[in-house]
Amino acid sequence: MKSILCPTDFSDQANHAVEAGYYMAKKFNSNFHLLHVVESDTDIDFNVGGAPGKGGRGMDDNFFLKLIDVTRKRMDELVSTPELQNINVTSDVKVGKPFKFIFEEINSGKHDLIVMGTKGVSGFKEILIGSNTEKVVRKSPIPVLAVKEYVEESNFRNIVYASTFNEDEHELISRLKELQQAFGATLHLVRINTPNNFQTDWATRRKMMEFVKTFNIMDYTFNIYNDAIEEDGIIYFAEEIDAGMIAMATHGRTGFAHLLSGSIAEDVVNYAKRPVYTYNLNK
Amino acid sequence: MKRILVPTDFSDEAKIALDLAIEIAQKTDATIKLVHVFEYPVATAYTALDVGGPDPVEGEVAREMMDKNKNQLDEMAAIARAKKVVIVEEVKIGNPFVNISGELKDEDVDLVVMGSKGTSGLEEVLIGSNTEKVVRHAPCPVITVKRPVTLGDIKDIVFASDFKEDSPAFMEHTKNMQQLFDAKLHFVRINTLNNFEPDSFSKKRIQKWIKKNNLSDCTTRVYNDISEEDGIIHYAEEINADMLALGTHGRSGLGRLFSGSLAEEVVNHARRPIWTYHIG
Repeated sequence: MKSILCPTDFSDQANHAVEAGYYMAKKFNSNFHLLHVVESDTDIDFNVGGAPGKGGRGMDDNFFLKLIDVTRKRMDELVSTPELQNINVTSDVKVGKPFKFIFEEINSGKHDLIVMGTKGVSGFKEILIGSNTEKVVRKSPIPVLAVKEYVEESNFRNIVYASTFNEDEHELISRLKELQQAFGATLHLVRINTPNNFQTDWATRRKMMEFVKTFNIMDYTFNIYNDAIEEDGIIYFAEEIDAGMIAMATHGRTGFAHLLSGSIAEDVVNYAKRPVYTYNLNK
Repeated sequence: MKRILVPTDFSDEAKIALDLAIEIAQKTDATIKLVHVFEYPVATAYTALDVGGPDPVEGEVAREMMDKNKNQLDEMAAIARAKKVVIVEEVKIGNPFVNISGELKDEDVDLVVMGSKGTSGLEEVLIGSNTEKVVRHAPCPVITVKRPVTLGDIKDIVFASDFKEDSPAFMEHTKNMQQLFDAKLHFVRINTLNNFEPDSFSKKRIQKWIKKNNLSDCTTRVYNDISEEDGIIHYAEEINADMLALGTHGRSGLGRLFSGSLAEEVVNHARRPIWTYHIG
C-alpha cells in the first residue's frame, strides 16, 4: 500500500477517518494524503496559490478567498497534529465540486485506499459525509474504508468478512490478507442466511472450507448467521462477536448502501462503531 | 434408575442394546427386564406357561419355538448375570408393540434400551417399525442403538429442541441422562425454510431456556437444513457427536417442532445411539 487518500471536511467523523488512516499508513509505511474541497457551485478552478480564475462575484469572491485562507490554516493544523508526525503526510485544498475533485484524485492511480468519514443519515446534504461517501463506495475503483466513530488499532485485529462465497472476490481477499498479516488479525468469515437465500449449513461450510483452502487463509472462523435481510445479519453478527471492522465486496448493487447510510433503525449506535471496508468489484 | 427394560428379538442389535443396558445397570444399581415377544401368526390365546391350541401339529411347532426362545433368552441373561447384574426374563406371545407397551404401563420401567436396525425394508418382528412405535409411546426415556457402544464412548450428545419446551419431567429426564453419561450437551435448533427464525431471535430464546432450566456443561447452536431430521443428523456429523437426544410429541401434533414422525425418521437414519423422551 503506497498511498492512502483521506478526503476530509474536518468533522468528527472525518477526524476518526484520519485516525483509521493513520494506523494503516503507519503499518504499511504508506503516504497519507489529506484532501479538502471547499464547495463552490461555480466550477471555478482555484489553484492553491489563491487567485480565482473567472471573476465577477465581488463580495462573494472576497468571502471565498477568506474561506479558502481559513480552510488552508485548518488543513495545516491537521497536518501538524503530533500524532501524524511519524508518518509521511501530504495535503491539498481545492475549490469546486467535492465529488469531482475526490474522483480526480481517486482516478489518478496514485492511491491504493480511501479512508473517509461517514455520518449516516442526517437529513442534511453534507459536503463530504453521508451521501458523498456512499457515492464513493459505489463508484470507487479502489477500496474504501468508511469510518463513523473513534477507531483504535485493535479494530483491525478482528475483521468480519461477509460474503456469499459464490462470487469471485479474489481482489478483495488479497487486500484482506495484507491487512490480516499487518495487524495479526482474525478473519471471521460469515454468510448471512436469509429466507430468500436459504442454504443448508453443511453446504455453506463446504464452500467456506474450499474458500479457505483456495486462498490459503490462516487464522479464521466459520460463521453462518440467520436473518431476514443480509444487511441486518452482517450488523447483528458483527455486534454479537464484537468485531472491529466489517469487510465486504460490493458488486455495484444498491441494496448495500444502507449499511453505511444507517437506515436500519435498530442498533444504529452499536453498528456505527465499526469501520466498513468495501471494494467495488464491478468497476 | 431402578428398572431397565430390554426388548429382544435375539438380533445382533438387541444384543448390543443389552450390553449397554448392563453397563447402565452397573452404574446405577438398576435391574434389567429382558423381554421377548413371540409373534405367533394364529390368534389363539397362548400363555407363556401353558401352550396349546386347536391344531396339535401347530401347537407342537409353537411349543418347540417357545423352548428355543427361552433358551436364547437364558443365554442372553447369562451375560448380565456374569457381570453381577440382576436380570429377569420373560417370553410373551402376541403383538410385540402391544406387549412392550403393556409392559411399560404395568411395570415400573425407568428406561428402555433397544436395538434398531434402521430402514431395512423388512417388517421385522421387533426392530424397525416396532422400535419406532415404542419410541413414540413409551412413558419413559428410550435409548435405541444400532452399533456397539459403551457408556464411556458417549461424551458429546446433540440435543435437538425448539427451546419452547417447559415440561418439568422432560427436563428432569434430560438432566438425569446427562449425569448418567457424564457428557456435554450440544443443544441445537434446526432452522428450516418453513420454520425460519432470525438468529437474534433464536439465540436469545435458547439462552433464556438454558438459564431457566439451570443447564450446565452445554453448547448451543442454530443449524440450517432442508428438514429437521437432516439437520440433526448433519449437525451430529459436523461435531462428531456420540449420541442424539430429542423430545417427541407422539401423534399429538400441536404444531410443535418435533411432531412424532421426526423422532422416528431420526431413529431410522442416524447411526448413533438415540435417546428419546415422549413429552406428554
